[in-house]
Amino acid sequence: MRLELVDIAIVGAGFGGAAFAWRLSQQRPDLRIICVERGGFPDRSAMPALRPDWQRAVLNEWATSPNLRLKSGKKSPSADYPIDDTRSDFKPLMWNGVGGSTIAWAAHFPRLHPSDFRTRSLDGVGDDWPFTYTDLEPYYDLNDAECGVSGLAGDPAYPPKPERVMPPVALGRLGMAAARGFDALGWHWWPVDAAINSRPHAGRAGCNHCGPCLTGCVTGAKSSTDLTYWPKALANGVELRTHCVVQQVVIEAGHARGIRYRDASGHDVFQPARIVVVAGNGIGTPRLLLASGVESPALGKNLMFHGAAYARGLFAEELDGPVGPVGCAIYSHEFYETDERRGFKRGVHLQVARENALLLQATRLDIPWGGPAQQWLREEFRHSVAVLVCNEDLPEAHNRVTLADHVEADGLPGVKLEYRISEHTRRSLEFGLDRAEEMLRAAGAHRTVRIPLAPLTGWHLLGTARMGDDPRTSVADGSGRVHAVADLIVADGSLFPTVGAVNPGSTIGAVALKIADDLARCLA
Amino acid sequence: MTNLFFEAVVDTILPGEDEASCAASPLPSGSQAGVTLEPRNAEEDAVLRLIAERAGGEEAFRRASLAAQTAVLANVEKERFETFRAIVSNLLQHYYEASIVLAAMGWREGAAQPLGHKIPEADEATLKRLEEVRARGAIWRPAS
Repeated sequence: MRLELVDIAIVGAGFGGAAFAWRLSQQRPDLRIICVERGGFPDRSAMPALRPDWQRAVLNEWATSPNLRLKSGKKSPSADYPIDDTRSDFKPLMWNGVGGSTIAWAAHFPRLHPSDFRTRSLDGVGDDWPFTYTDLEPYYDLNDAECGVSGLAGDPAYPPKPERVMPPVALGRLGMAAARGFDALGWHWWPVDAAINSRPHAGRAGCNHCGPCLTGCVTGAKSSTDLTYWPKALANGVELRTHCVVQQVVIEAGHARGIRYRDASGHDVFQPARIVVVAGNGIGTPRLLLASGVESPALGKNLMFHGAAYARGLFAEELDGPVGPVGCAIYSHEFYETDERRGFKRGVHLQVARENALLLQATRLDIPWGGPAQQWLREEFRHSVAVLVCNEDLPEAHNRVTLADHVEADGLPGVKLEYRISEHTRRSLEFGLDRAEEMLRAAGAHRTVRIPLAPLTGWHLLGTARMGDDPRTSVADGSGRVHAVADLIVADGSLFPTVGAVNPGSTIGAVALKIADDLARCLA
Repeated sequence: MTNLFFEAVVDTILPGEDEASCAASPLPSGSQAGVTLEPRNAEEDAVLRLIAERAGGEEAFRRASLAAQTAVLANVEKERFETFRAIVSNLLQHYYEASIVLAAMGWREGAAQPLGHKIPEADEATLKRLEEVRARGAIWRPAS
């Protein structure tokens, strides 16, 4: 079936696709814009937090990994495809549906630092972005305003940011204990920026600290693009087609001409479009572009996740337990910028995270059964503070997304990851774990333990369609336009040339807004 | 395989805490918490039969000490890791959602919503120290 020509066809309704759709429809209301999404809208009335057996959902149909969701055999609201991650040290995590991974994210919302955009110039590693923090700053501000950020202005780790519209999410006893440790050492800490309502805001409830953010937010206090950008984009006239799986970007004579997709009824549909915008995340985007025959030497390469490890401190005092937004309390950027004396370039982000639910605490133990496991849980539950150590993963061409030889049930070629942790990341994480343990002891922990590598932390799927000026080493330019194919744009985390050491959501949204403005100007 | 054998396996995986433990409310064993075991597929059935075989029979496993039962399971875990861990995961899911277990850990049973939880805001002393962090000045690196 061939449909009527539209101006813009967007692939993917996650953070990038949503922010892009809203901004372009606001700037250019005359354009006919459609978005095609493989999943559907989340049903908040069916989310696990409303059920007594809510804990087990995160091991099954609401697992963070699409592979684990598929393996559970339970029907998931996420429209997943399998990913061969057997050759990847980190396992990819994502959510497939309207809102993308913002449905299941922690909504920790830091920005990149100015230095993150200039790693090659400053430190001789990675690559410079084609624009600067200053260029992106207005879009960070706009994205903050649209998503709704709780936090506290005045953080000395960043250039000045606007007053946050809500105060920080409550620190809790856990956050205050960690702050005590940072203060004892004279290190920086600050309440996190979170895309979570600490008070009722923008028609959404304030967070009541129920705990299981990663299985969706029942109250809508957590910002996700099905609640923020999409209602506004739809009101602007954008058409969102759900449960439709794009099979191919149709390319003729070096130009994108539209998309071919399988609709909810299984029919093959050709949607002609003047411009195609792909925002399928750092795996879905290269998968589709490779399957569509886009030829670019850097496509699929330079996959970055962020190295991740944990240190956990056990305290005699009773702390909060598994309550409150998991990604919120405080963080430290004392060690974020390069210090050559450490033996590695760039830095680490120390994020104080909340405790897991009891069942999750139990299942993540090395040996989760027997008396010692139960004794450990008894000591740990409501008495632990975890510090997530994230480092700046650097781009390496051998870390990549490629296609498999077989076709998956969704009609697309299978997808494989190859990713090996670098010596740089190992050194950075080791350093960060040392600092995290030092802080925990200073805060009063009587025991600390390390999880030197946390494989199930691969939320940040970045770099596989990187921006740059040189078509030999980059896929797209600074406006997301694919070098090799005219009228084809990328608008998601695939574009990141480097990734800093912080969560990318805030930057994915800001970059998508900028790309929309760049296109609006170009079309004017 | 008998229910008594299954029960012994459950209580080896989840032995609970004895009365002599310092906990005010000791954790119950798996069977005391109402957790039951039944193989869900042929692989799990084979692993459970292997446990009995390695112990010298179901009855021998039941009569063995907890340390001996644990050793049998540890050996089977090495041989059939994935299936053994699938059995464990299934038991943990039932156990750590049981009311009696949550109560023993001092936690509320039931859904996380709509009640949610209260957690304290930063106290005055913490906020005062935060001002000292601010007063130390910018630590970000200019890039232009």
